[in-house]
Amino acid sequence: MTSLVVPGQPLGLASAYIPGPGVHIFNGQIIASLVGQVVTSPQASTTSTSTSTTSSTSTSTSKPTSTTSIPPTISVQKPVLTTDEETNATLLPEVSSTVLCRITRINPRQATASIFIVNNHICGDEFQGVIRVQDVRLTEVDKVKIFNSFRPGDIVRARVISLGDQSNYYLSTASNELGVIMADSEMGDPMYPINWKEMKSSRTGVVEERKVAKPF
Amino acid sequence: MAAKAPDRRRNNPPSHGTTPPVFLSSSSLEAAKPKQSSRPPDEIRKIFLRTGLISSVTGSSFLEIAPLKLSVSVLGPRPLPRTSSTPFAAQAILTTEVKFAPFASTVRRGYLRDSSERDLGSRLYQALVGAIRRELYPKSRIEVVVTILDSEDEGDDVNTVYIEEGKTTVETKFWDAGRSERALGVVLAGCITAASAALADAGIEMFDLVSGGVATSFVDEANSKGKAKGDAVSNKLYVRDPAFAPPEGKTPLATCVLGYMAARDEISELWISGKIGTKNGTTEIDELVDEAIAAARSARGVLNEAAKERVQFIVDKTGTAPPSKGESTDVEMSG
Repeated sequence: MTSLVVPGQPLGLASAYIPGPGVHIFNGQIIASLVGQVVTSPQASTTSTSTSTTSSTSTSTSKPTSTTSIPPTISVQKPVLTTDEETNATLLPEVSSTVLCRITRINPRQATASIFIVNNHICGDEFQGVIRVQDVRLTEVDKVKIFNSFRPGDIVRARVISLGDQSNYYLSTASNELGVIMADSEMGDPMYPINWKEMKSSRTGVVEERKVAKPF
Repeated sequence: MAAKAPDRRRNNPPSHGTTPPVFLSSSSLEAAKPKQSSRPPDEIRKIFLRTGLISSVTGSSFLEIAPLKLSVSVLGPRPLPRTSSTPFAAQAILTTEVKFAPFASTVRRGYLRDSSERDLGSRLYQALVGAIRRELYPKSRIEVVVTILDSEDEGDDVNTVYIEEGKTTVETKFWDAGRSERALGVVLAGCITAASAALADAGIEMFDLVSGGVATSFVDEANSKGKAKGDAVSNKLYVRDPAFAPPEGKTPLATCVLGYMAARDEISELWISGKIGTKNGTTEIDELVDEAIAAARSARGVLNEAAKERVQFIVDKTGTAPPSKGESTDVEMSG
């Protein structure tokens, strides 16, 4: 059984590890800042002995030099009950994190969106973000029209480019794999993408314009 | 029609009326007053502390120390209010709120926050704000809400009489002096300890857990009358986690409450009230603070175990070994 640590508990010398999430450095020591289990990767005990002993016969083939030069990363993880605690309440969007958001309203300059998934984790509260017209796509930026890219209700995959001002995260869809991933037509029918800028209604066959994300 | 709309802001009394309670007369109350505690002065009362009892918030805790009962809820980090004029915050904004339930003190309190509740709230803020790694949670706020369900405190009306010395209109009994500070001090120390447990339960990153400690210095009753000022320094009795009633024949001098980060040996909040001798003031303060730190250290042991308890429960239930990053490194090695 692995032992648990509490905030403030020293875990080791700062020179022996790379600090990961859930720890901080104080007075040259790695200190836990969460309640949870200590995780070192690669395993601290094996890497320290593998250089001297012959215990690592299988792993020492590819990169023996990197294990000696790079110290193991140490982090503290708080275990969660997998069923109902899948929403990560302390999750916040960061710059360059990929988010899923729902378009709430649009105007010619920007589309406002409500972020509900950050890096494949459901967040506890929804965060407000905006996709400005210059961030919709990578090329021909000045020809973009928000009205032909997003509609309220669309589910959009986007990337956070800035924490923005006090109320909005700034999002961008300027990449092939970013853009609308789910949308309904004006009649309310689900649509499927037919190319990078058009989606087709599954029932009526009407084609509408969107900034479509490239399917994986 | 619509002559009197019901007041929706508070719990309304039953419409059919109630029988007023009949209390003992104050003279009969006098006789039952000084209840002596049997524990030694350097021992704190037993603490009951549990986390994760409220499922609708991010983190929560419940604490019981003899008569004191309180629950703490931690909400957030959640986005800043959309309409407010709060500027961009690079660090999380911490808000603390302490509320006595109307029935929590011996004198009934109102529903609105009164001055001692606001005071406790700001002291709790000071105790916690330095311990939280707020830079990890930009553009968000963390709310700590403490609800006190039971305490030895006597309510704000009584407190103001005894805290502000000049306003004392009644002849104070020997054990009256500083009693509201003792009661509020125990409450604040409990708030700090429980709030740390709730923050840890919420999974908010902290530099260290903060535990609260209280200590009161007492002298012999005879000394307090101003007869023997010189030897008042010599025979002091320091009591950790003082009960409401002082020890037999003693009168309180000063009370110290602090928030203490044991692993870093840092004091995050310090509140001393009462009389400290002018002759030997610094050593007296030092001794008092050391006693309060010792009380906080004792509370820290309980806090550590309480913080681990629920995580241990989850570990046992899910039966997971630490979710190792081994898979990802294995891929790197083979590839």
